[in-house]
Amino acid sequence: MDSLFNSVCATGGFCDTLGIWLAALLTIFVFSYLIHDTILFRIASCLLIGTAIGFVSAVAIRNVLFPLAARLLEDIFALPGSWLVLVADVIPLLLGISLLMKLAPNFRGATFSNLGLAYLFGIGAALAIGGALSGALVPQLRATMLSLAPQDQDLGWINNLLIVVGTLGAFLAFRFIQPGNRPWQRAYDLITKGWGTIGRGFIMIAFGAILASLIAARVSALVGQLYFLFHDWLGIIR
Amino acid sequence: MIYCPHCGTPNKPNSKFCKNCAALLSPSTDVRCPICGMMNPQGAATCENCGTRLSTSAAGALNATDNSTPADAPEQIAPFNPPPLAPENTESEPHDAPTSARPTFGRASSEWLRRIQKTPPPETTPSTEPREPIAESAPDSTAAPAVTSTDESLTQTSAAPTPSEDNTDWLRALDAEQGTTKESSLPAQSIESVPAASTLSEIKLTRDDYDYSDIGGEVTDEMKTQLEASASNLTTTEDEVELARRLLGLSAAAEIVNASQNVSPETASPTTDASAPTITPTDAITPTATQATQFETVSLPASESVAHVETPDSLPIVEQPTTTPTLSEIKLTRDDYDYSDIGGEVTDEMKTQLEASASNLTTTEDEVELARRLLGLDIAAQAASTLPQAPPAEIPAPLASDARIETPTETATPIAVEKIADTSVQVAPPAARETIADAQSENQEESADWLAAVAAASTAVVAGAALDSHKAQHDAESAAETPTEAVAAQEIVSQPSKAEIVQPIAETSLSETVSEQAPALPKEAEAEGSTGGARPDTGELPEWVHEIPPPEAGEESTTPEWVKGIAVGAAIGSAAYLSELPELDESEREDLPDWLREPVAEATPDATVPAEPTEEPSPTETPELVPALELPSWFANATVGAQATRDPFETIETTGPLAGVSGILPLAVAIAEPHTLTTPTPARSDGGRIFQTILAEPLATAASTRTPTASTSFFKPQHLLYLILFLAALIPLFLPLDQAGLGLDASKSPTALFYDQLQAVPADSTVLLAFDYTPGQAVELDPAARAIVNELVSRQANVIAISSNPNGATIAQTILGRAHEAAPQFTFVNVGYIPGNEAGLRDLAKGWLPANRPTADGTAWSASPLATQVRGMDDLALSVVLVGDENTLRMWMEQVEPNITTPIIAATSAFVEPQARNYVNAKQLQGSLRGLTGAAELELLTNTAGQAVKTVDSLSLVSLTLAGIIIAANVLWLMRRGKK
Repeated sequence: MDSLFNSVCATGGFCDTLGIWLAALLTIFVFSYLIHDTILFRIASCLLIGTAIGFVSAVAIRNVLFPLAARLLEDIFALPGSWLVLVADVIPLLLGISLLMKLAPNFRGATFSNLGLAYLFGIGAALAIGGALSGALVPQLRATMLSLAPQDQDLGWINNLLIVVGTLGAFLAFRFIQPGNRPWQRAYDLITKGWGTIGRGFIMIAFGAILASLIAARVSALVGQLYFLFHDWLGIIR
Repeated sequence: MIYCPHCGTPNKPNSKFCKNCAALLSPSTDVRCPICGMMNPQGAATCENCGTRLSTSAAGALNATDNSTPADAPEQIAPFNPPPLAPENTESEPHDAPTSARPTFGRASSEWLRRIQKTPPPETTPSTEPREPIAESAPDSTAAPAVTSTDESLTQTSAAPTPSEDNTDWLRALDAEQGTTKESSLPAQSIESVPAASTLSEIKLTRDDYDYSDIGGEVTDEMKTQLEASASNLTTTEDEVELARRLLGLSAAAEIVNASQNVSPETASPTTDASAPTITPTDAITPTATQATQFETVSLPASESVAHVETPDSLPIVEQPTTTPTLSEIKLTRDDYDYSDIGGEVTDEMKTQLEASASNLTTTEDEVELARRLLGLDIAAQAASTLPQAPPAEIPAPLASDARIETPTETATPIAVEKIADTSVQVAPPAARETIADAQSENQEESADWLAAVAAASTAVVAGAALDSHKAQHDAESAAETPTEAVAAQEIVSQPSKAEIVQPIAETSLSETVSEQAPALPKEAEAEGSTGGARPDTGELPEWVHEIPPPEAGEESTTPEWVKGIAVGAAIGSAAYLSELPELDESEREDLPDWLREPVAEATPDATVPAEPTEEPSPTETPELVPALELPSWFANATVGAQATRDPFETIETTGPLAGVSGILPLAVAIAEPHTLTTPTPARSDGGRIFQTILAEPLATAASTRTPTASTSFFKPQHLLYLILFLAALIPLFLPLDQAGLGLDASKSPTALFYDQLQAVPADSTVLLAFDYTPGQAVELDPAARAIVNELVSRQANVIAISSNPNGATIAQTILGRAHEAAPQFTFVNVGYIPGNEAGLRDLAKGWLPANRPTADGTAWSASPLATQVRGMDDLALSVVLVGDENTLRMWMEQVEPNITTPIIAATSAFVEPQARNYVNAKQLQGSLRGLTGAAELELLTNTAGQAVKTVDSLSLVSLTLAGIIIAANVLWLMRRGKK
């Protein structure tokens, strides 16, 4: 049986051919959206959503729940010496069960589900804040602390200057402060506004770059899928 | 509270319909006090609040006892037009008195009446020049047996309808006004005891309120100033009135009217029907007690005006209501189309019809008839015309006066007449009558010949009638048993000067009869006078009576029986005399107006006055009586034309106080009265049938109304764009591989750093590959993943594959499996999905994989060949992150990178590349690979050109195409904006 399965689903076998045909048809279904919102596109979309959810659920059960259940059983069988481990493994299980209680909002025990949510929000916020500080803010601030007279690069100072000016200008672009009446305050306001305007230009350039990158990503997907159709499916392109 | 005229049910003041019988209710007729504004009940003489005498009635102007000049009278009284009576009405069937109740006089409240009042007769003397004189010496043209009353209050009572629930609003108002005078005058029951009541205008004048609205004038400030300036010179109310009238410019009219009144007794022409030059409403009250007897304004030539007849004492004088104004006819003859005086409004269409029919019009009467028909005013004319025309010749001469008695009973308010019968009758002083007679004689001299003839004839008729009635009175007195009312009526007849009979002027039959009998009447009058027709109170007859030739001996016997009966007892106008009318056949009855067609049987016995003439008047043949009297052509044509015309659309009032009267604003009735749905008329049925036929017809083929819509236009502009992009992406794919990716320079790209990190991986070391992208991003990242794995395979490095995405494990398994197939020595462990997102990655970075962590093939991590080499991330040679979205890259940078010491490089989607470049600049990432382009560069760097290099040209061409489209679109937009 296994040999038959391996022969059928081996590389270049029937499964690959079937997979290519299914992928090609679903690709055409999706391309039909360029003409109109056809039923083919809807079929492809539904298939994608269904298979993705099913696959994710299967993965979560196989890679999350089953290992946890196996570990609990091991802990139980290892009792009484493994009670601490058992308690440590039961707590995640209870929090997970508490989240399921959200499915029954009229149930009085639904408030118990808040414990699981609180745990998630607390852990998520803590990780996000800690990770942002340590992984984004500090490294990025440090990255902008550049020398305008780099020793190793002749024109590196220009790059560093642009990075500094662009970064500070992007920050000043989000400045909303009423200027004072004193001359220096007006001068400060004039400078910051001007710098903020420059920073807004950098932001616009960044947005343009992101948009172009997005388009490039989607065009890459198009080209890759066309290559699939004409190379893997039709074999026109060699 | 409004009482229902039908059932008497009290209704709320604002009710329009009776809550009991749903009859149409008249609005409240309460009288508002002019001083305090308090509403007083109808008929109240004085205000209940302040005691102010309430507005007097128009009839108040009829006070004969006051000293007002005759010129004042016309403005005080406004006539009401009863339906004109055709000559044939003299023999019409009598009808019930209550149903025939109609007002003969009313307050001059309507505008047209005011105009009539103010309008001087256009032709006073020989105004009838274009017309032939009727008679040379006709007596009173009114020829109306008038019940003469010296008390104007009594006159009002007789003239105005009795307050009745059946009366309309204006009738009630009129009654209220008249009732005021009545109350004050009735108790006296005598001339001496009744004080001279002032007219309304006079009363107001004495109060200096300058309200002359009742006489039609508008007082300006200038007038007030003059009035005040002249106040010292005014001694009496009459003087003030005279001054006010002069200021208002009404004196001329009054004088003319006065002149006409003076002329009238002897010289006034006979009244005609509506189609003929009619006589305007005239209060033909015989001046009896004083000369202040109020006359109504006459708006017609003096020759046509109603005259006051100096009747013999035994002759009851009928107060004449008037017909439609004759001014309209006069104007018509001038072709000015001004019919405003008769209430019509001439439209252009009417003018067109008039002009179109001009050729067919031979006489003025025809024109008048046509105009009236167009104006919808021929109802009155029809009323007159529909009456059976009795040939004047058939009317006996002695009957002339009696006929006048008969006629007013039909037109005047019977109720009022009954009241007169019930109340005592005032006796007119002979002196007053003489004075009036003298004035009339004087006026007669100034009038035209035909007017004189008419006046003479009228006088003769009156004299004859007086004698005849006087004779009948004696017979009645001799009756042993006489009903009370009959006695009263006889009393009235016996004292003709006391009674006052209202006669409709429009009775052409009467006038015609009078005019035709004029030559013969004097004799008759003398004969009658010799037989007891003299004035009973004085035993004397006025001079003009003596001048009337005595009638023929045989003429008396020719008077019909029913005429004599009327002359004796029914002169008051009750229904009794109507019952004495000769029987009419059905056709004749149909021609009669509705209010004359009432059944005789409804007349109550009490109301009837037994007409028992003591002497049978022999019927007199009119042709014999009036052989020399020639009727003018207009008169004859008018009568004939009026008889011939009958409005087929004439409406008949069947309910309300005007029941039985025709031509009463049918539209208003239709709107105001609730009515039930009538059955569909044949015309309606036909309409419904036609409609159903149309519905039953087969539907015609409807024209195609489909408009070009978006569905028909399958090919859209965006489809062209799709096609261009498709070709741009497809064409480069057919380029040979050796010519693909020629523009790439991997050495100077960021990919070089990435490649350097791969090159730094030592052999037999372990590299962590994180497949954190989805199948949707696999098209872009798979080439990079394959290039990286191939490089690692070439470097003999081991790979541990993980994924924070559930789908990543499958993708990793596919790519690593193929690499393992290509290089069986290649060792890799697909750990699979790492749950927990940030926490999972952080746990991975901190604690690494648990020993019992199952891998993709189901075995535990501890069982994998690489588990012994790698106990944490720091044991890895390199971490390569394949991410398709920004969040995953940030998680790696925030949760993993700070916690490990091994270098991290990222192969990202093109979309995430700008973010990855920041991490590269911050040294968080040691290198980055930018999507498909980076994969191609990596292939070029590793000399493994494949799919990425093959497709990168397509990516470049598509990118250029998009850039060109964007530029072209902006240029077009700028050009279009520049044109605007």
